[in-house]
Amino acid sequence: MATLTAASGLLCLLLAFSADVAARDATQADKGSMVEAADAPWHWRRGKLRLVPGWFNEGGGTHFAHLDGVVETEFNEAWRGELAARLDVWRDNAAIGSGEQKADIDALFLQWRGGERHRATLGYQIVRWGKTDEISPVDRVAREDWSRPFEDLADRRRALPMLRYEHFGKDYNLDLLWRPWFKEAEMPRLDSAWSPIDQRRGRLLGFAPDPAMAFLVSNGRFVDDPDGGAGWGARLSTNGRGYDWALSAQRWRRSAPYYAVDLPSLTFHGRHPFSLVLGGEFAASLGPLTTRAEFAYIADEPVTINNATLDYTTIPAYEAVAGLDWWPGDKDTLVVMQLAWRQLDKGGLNILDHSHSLALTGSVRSEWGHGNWQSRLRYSIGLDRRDNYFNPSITWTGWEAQQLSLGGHWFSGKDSTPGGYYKDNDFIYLEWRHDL
Amino acid sequence: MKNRLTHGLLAQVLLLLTLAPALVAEASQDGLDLANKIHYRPRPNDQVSFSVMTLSGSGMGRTRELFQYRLDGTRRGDTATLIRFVSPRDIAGTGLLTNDFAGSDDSDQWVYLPAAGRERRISSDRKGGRFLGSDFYFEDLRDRDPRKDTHRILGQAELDGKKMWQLESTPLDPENSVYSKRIGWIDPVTYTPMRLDYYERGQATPVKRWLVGKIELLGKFWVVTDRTMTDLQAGTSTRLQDVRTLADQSVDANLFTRKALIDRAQLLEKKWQP
Repeated sequence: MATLTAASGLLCLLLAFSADVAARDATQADKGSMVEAADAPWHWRRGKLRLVPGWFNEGGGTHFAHLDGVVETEFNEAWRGELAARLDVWRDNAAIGSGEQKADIDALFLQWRGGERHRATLGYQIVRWGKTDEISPVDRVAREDWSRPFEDLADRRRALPMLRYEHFGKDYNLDLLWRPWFKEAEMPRLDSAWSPIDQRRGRLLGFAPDPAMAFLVSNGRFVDDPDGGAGWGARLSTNGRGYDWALSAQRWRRSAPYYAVDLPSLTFHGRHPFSLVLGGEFAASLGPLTTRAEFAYIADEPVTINNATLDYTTIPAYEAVAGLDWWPGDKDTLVVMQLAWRQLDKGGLNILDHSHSLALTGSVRSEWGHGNWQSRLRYSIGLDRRDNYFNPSITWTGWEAQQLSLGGHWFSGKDSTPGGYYKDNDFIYLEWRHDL
Repeated sequence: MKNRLTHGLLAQVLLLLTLAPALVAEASQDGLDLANKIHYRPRPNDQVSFSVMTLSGSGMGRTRELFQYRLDGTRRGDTATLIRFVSPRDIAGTGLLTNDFAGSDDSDQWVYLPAAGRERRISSDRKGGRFLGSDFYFEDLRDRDPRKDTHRILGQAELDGKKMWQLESTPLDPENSVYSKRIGWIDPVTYTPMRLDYYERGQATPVKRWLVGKIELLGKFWVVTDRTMTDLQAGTSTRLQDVRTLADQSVDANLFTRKALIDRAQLLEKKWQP
């Protein structure tokens, strides 16, 4: 509650900055508003307001509102600070009705620059690694946000307290991270339509429906075990002529909980195992195409053993995504196609989890009408089993800094898949977005 | 008499037929020379502009503000550019970094979207797509190597009361341009194309027109600071106006690196902004 109050206060402060800068912008528009604003000791960088009412196909609504803002200051050539906060409000009444509002910090850090080569950042920050869209095996640095699991990948990341050092060499960049303590993922409320736990139906996301499991889920208690623990990450990257690559190693706790059941107490514990993750990234331009690829080895992926006591353990896993960007006919439509593969190294264990998956993911985006209209289709199609997701939308961008969209989310698939789990949650939505 | 006349005419036709290839070759050589003079006309080694892009003709007018940074390398043809949008707010902070290499069609290009929080390599091979929904195709914003076209001087023509060279340029390989040909009105003093008419395949009339609104003497160089591209079919136009420009400041090469591209505070850029 204290965090909510503090972050809400911070957001009010940021919005006051926004209003002040907007007033100055109005009088200085002909000079280049952003440039003038940047001369102030603290200045507003950007923010946005999103209002997204949505209506389920099966009745009821799933509404969402979001407000965020960023201000920054430069103390001198070497030191600067940044402050960012957000407020999210959810309301959904698909099944039993739920509502929630939460404020959070998106950035609160102090940054030092040592000439052109060195940069160190201490405080709350969002760090993103990886090169692929939608699914990024390497992008495990930031805290995950599962409150709306269908949002764009960048909107599914939250800030964490970290110490970051970046070295910018002539031909390479080095990124070193240290996380002093653990913070778990942002999860939807248990009664939300987007919760991975469905006590009404007795379902857990990622598991096939089963009468015994249904009894346990419906009658069990769910607790999270966000044990502490520092973590670290290192990434070496280069942006070369014709291609880019990066190698990374990271070791920290998984932020999203994995629910392990303790049968005697009928309690599901949200576990966040430590894991070493080794990753590789590659991107290259080949004529009109751009290719991207990522690979990750995860040393400790949590699973449930299919035995009488449903024991919890961790096993190695491999994930890879390879894709390409393509502009058909060299016009204004971008097609992104990615093949996403995941394999668990069971080592002879009989587990309840899916040991492999293969999917085609990506998007098709078009712009027309002198840049006033955009259409987009995001998709994920299971190739080894039926697990589909489609998100078509059309957006009017004719008003400066505002967007008005109409879209829908469609889920379908076998019961054990995410598409199958959310198949009753198809919905259409309107979205008004105003960039502040 | 009639016979003598016929023989005289025949002799002239034969002479013309004999000399025609040579005349065409000479015209073509002159055309290439002129195209080279345009392409390699002196310009500042580095240039930074604060520009305003205005889109008109399709409902409400839209305005975008941006900084453009350019640095030429030590090899003629090596050029690095960084474009940073400052408004409107939905695209503020977006950056586009391009490295062009002498004698190569392949460039490196990355875009940085602040909301995504990371840079993204993109294909520099795009020609026909519209730059941010404007009337500029990506091809219009790049320098085109004169060796990719055949050039022919059509003669002289007047533009705003001033005599200009009229140059027709046709791609050698139709696949490497959106256009079937371009006809330019070239200022004979500064070798600047003051007007360009663009033709597409199967079109007898131009589909787009580039018109210079202002050319300024920046130090010792003539630099275009105001130009408009008009889509003659759709009736829309995009004006790109350099409001403030600085040249030959010895801009730091570090400005054209990943570090500068992904720097949300844009501290290095601020040092060089006009």
